[in-house]
Amino acid sequence: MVGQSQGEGQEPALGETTATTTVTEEGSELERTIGLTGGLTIGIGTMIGAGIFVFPGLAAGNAGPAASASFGIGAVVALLVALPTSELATAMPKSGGGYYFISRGMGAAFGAIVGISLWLGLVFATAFYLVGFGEYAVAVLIEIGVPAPAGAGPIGIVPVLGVIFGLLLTGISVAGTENTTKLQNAIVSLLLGILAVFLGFGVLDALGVFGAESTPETYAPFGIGPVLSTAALVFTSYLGFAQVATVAGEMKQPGRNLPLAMVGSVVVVGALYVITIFVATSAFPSATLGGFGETAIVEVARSYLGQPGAIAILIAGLLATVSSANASILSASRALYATSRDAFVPQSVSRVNLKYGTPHLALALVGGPTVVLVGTGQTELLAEVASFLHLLMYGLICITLIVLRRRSPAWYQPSFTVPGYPIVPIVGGIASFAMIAFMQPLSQIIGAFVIVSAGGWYLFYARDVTIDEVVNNE
Amino acid sequence: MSNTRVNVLVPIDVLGGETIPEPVIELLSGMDVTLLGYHVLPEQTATEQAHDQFHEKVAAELAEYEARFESHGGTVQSRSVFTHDKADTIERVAVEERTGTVLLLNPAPKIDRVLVPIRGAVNVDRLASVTAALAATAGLEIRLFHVTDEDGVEAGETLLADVRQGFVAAGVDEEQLTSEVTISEQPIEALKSAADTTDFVIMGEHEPSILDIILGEASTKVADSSLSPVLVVRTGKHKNTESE
Repeated sequence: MVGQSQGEGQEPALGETTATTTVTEEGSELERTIGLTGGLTIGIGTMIGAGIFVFPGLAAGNAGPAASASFGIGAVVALLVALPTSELATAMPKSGGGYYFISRGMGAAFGAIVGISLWLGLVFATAFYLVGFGEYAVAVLIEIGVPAPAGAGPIGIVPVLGVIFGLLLTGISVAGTENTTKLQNAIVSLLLGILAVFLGFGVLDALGVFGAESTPETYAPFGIGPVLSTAALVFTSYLGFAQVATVAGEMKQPGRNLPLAMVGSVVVVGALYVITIFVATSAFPSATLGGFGETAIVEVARSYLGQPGAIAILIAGLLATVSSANASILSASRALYATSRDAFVPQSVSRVNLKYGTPHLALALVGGPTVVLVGTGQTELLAEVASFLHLLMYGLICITLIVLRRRSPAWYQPSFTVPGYPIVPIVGGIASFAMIAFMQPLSQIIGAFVIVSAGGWYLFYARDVTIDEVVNNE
Repeated sequence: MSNTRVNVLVPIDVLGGETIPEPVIELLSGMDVTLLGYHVLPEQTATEQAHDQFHEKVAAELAEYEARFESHGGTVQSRSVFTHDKADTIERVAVEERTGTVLLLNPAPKIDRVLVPIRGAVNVDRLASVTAALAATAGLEIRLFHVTDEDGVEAGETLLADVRQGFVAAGVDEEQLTSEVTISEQPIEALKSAADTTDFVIMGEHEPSILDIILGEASTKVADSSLSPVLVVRTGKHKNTESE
């Protein structure tokens, strides 16, 4: 049982999951060390980098002030998936998240394809965050008056800085730094603090408290189509909640903390995104915002709070994109581990290095492809492919929930159940697949290519793999 | 009192090359020992992942220690834990096993002299019964030790006299006991240098003072800087460390 049993003189039995530990079949214990704050930090820290610091300009340029509706749609879809994911995670609090649920619920072929596409989806997401980081790094250089190197111009510098930082982050991960969680917690708290001040001021100003006129503009100047395609583009801002599930095996009190961390982080960032777009489109016409590109929010901060505001947001943008990239690298390595544990990829991939205590090969298999993708510098393409690969998994998560509820195996004992079953998973599943339909054709082609390749890999390498049944928690 | 069995938790970083010296195994043979083989992982690594790879090695190492404890007539059980946080793990297992004492390992070529620092009258009963359980198995010299400033010498001597009586009542042979009051402005430094001249330390775990929070728990500091193993006697009134 995933219970809350804990106390003096109680030693957990074999195969049992308690609030603070999991006992393996071999009799060893796996300590659960991530609390609710840690879970929320993973979710918020992964998501916040994209939605506030990269997308507002691009989204407003595409959809006008209705970009806030695009973010709202994304939040609703994310919530519809976060609820089923929470139920599955409390029934199977194991490393690997979505991959683990789908492979146990839907069998080996789906498992292999989702495992591989989750890994690559996170690689695309990491590359996207690092390009965003590069944009901020260049904006900082411009702000402090460093001239861009002759000939190259800022366009060429962005991927270079992104690649350098990608290599650095991978190196730090392989070396097994301590206290990254504490650092991540501090960064997320700082970010939320900066945003609270900036958005608070922006909202008051936009509502006319300080006497300034907000810019009157048609809400959806380009119609409903761009609102939906923008929702598909910015959905990358909501990928983080499922990353909470990749560390489900290490969460304390998983029955309580997993749903709270996943749903809570979606609600928090969704609200922040919608407010951010509202503030941004009140400060500038959306065409101007679109012209500012990835760092539009810096100009918004400058218009409200002057140079100090711009500098604060620049620093926040650097921290947010790095923390998103870092969290995604770690999740991708967990996903690769879960896939290799079931032998869908060679098991040597996730071997732990005794000296550093880290899976150096798995981390290299995340960092390597990431820096290649960063080199392309294609923000929107990277974001959409990342979303594509995640949305496929989200849709399958919703189906898995329905399959498991109908099949109702003895081991399936979630301590959190989806409200509004079966409507929520059905709508969540349909919405996930529908988002894919609104992407650019090139993103769809690349995403489909990855999935077909993963299927080919399964047929070539792993066709005879069988999945172990879920360890009985009774 | 003296026949109450004392249980002790021995956390050991099995894969990190930590070892339990033979004299320590001999000394603990009269106690109920729980070996806690732990492996600390950086946050980049899933605990399951390290478990898959290392659990057999950890189990083999622990089985070897169990055999060594049993060859000295001791009672022992072992648990192995893969964790991101050593302190969380030790605290949890100590609570689950209801262990009154935790051993912080250090090399010990021989154990003849045991240092028992006394801070105040608090917790002395538990210190006495633990010391008695150890003293019964070997002819040890037990050195009661109190650090104070110049004004506190008289009070310190009275304290140690009382404590000494308590130890005798708990079953420690009077002949084994010596008492010493030391004057120093820096109690932790004085404790460390005293620990350097003895082979084993038994000390109480105290409610952390502000200084402890800044500098770390006194017992950990003694264990880190001296060459002796330190047996920490827990106060017994521990909060259950819940989720956050």
